[in-house]
Amino acid sequence: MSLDKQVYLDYAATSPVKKEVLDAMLPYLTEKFGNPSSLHSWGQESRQAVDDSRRLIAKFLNVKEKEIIFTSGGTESDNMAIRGIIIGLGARLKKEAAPMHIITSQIEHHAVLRTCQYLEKNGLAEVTYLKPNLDGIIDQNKVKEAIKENTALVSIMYVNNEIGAVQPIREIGKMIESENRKRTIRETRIYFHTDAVQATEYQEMNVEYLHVDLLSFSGHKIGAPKGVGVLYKKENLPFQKMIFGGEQEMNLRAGTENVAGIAAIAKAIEILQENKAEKVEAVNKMRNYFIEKIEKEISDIELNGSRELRSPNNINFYFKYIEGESILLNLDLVGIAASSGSACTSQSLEPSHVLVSVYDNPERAHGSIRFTIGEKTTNEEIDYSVEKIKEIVEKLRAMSPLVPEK
Amino acid sequence: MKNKQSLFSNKNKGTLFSDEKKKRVIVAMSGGVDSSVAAALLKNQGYEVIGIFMKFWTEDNDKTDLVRENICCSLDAATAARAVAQKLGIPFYVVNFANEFKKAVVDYYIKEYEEGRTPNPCVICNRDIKGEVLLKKVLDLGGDYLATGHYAQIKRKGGICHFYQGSDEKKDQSYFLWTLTQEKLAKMLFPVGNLAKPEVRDLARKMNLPTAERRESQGICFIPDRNVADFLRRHGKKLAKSGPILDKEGNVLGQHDGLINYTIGQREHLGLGGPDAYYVLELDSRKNALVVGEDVDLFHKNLIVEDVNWISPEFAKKEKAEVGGRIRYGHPIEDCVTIKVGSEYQVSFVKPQRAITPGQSIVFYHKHEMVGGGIIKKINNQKD
Repeated sequence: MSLDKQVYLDYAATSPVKKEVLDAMLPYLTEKFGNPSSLHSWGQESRQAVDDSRRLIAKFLNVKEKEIIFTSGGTESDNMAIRGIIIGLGARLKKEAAPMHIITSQIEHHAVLRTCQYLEKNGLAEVTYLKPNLDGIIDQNKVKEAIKENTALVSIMYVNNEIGAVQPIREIGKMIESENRKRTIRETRIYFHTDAVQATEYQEMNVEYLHVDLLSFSGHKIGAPKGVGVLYKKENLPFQKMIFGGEQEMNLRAGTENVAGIAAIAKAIEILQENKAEKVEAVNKMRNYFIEKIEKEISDIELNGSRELRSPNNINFYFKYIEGESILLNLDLVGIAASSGSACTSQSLEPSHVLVSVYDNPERAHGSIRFTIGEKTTNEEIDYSVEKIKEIVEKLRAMSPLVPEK
Repeated sequence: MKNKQSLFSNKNKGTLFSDEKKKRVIVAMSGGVDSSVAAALLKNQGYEVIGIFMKFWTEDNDKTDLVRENICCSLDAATAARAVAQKLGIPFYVVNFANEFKKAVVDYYIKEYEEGRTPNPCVICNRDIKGEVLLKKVLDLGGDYLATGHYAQIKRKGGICHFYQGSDEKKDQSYFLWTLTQEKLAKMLFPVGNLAKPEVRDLARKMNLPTAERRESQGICFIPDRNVADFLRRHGKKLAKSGPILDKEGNVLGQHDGLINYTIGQREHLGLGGPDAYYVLELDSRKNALVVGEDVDLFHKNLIVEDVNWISPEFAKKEKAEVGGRIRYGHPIEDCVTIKVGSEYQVSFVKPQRAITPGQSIVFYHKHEMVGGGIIKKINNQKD
């Protein structure tokens, strides 16, 4: 199939590796190939790359170097954070103690949800799944109300991957701190984890500001390659590692380091900090242009998620009377990449658990499309895409038995 | 609501993105060799081909248990279909019809059993899923045609689609497709219908399709272990209850252990003693009774058919027609006469047919042309 034009509007799914990032990582695949654990000069060269990267990322998050663990990506970081704390705490507590309580939300990424469900199923934790409000925001008061004596972990994502809702992480973090101050020395503290995979490029990532104990992010969402991620874990937390073997990553994650990936994610972080405010503002403007244009051009639509508390790169609309799946397939056939949220392994579309939770409306979940833009997205691309979206929506509505008679 | 029929009228022919010279065909790819070859043949003929893999319902869909270990078969099939699409260089999408499939096919299947009938889920899937939901998706995608790997043939003459059996009589799948209509057939292609199965495999090998040696799927797709009784025990509670075994006159001979364990025509000793086995004549769901008798009691000439659909406009007009009738898949086609009575048809075979089973389809043929079909409502005792 030959296409005149291709537009990528799925940056929240993954992003291309940036040129500077590729340049920074390539030497560690070829001439500087040493194992960082080796004592010789090859090893030392690689070791330095890992150390430098760790330093840079620690500085970015405003944390200590030893609090940075390199992982294979956001999913591993989330798994490790939640299982690490719950199993780590379990080892400290007496056997007869009740299972620990986790508070999370219904709109988390599956990396968090499935991990919680796994712990629940195996009797290692009980879990409260909070429902967001109609803007897709988790109310910090609801988190507070859900806290119980045995609550040990709160895990709330920073930015929702589907509807771009920006959660009040700082407020929740401060609230948890004040709850912890009320606890006696015999009681466990409540630890706070945030999945910041969709926040890294656009939100404040200073951990001291956020008041979190654990934070996950991923390389491939920010211009580094797939297969590398970071978990920030505050020092001295009760923590059990998941991957056993060598003593890499402060003895918390075994396995020879992905040196090139680590060099890449550090470079990507370095780049995104340059003129961050201007870049965020530019993307934000582009997003508003996109949203306004769709609202002007296409009828019978609704914006999913909050208008104000919204990630600068996220546009998500409900197109009434038609199926999101058909819109997506048609968009792909004209070279436009979008998404309906999360795709499962077989690439088929499941109704989004996020939209189902926020709107209690399966039709809305089936009729919604997410567009996520990046720094490189242009006004022309948006104009072209909206024109195509409009054509497709009109065509599908002309065939839909659900459109009310005028 | 708009009239649903309008979906399939020419007005909505998907031309927005489709080059008139190069027609767009959506191929339903199952990962099997037949649909793989169908896609490849269309590609070679110059069509713009798009592959679609349909994800249907499996029992795992309803489980809250999140470790879904049993999806390997369907993932396997999707992977096989994708491999063919990649080989052919065509776009490929997986669509999720689980909900639609559950409602239209699985719920129907269970309910039919609960009513003492023996349903044919493939017929209903072709009518409500492939012939409705999928065809809608084809139009949504601007497709001019939907193609499948069925062994059946459409011959277009004078604006009418004549539906013929697949030329490989052993593989002929026309039986499952009697619910299609002229409007739908106008948008369908069966690219392997004029081939024999060994030819299809040969072509797949010659074209190096990765599915060339893939095993044929058998049985009902949502019951992969083929244990229908167990499936129904899990889903149709009232079917597992024991009840009386009756003879034709209504005398109680004993107790059965749930109607799900029996099908019409089955030969069983039923724990009733005596040297002779009994044959299952009827599953009476109202009385939860199993009616048994001798083999000879299974033979009938007359039946009543409901939900009749004539594909052939010529036969649709007839009050009375002489046709060939097939009362189940794989059964021979036998001479019979159909007579319209209200919304139903009385069918009289020349020769008695063994084990006519309510819920199964009866499909009508005129020589090799499949002209229509319906669902067997009951044996017509009054005429027998």
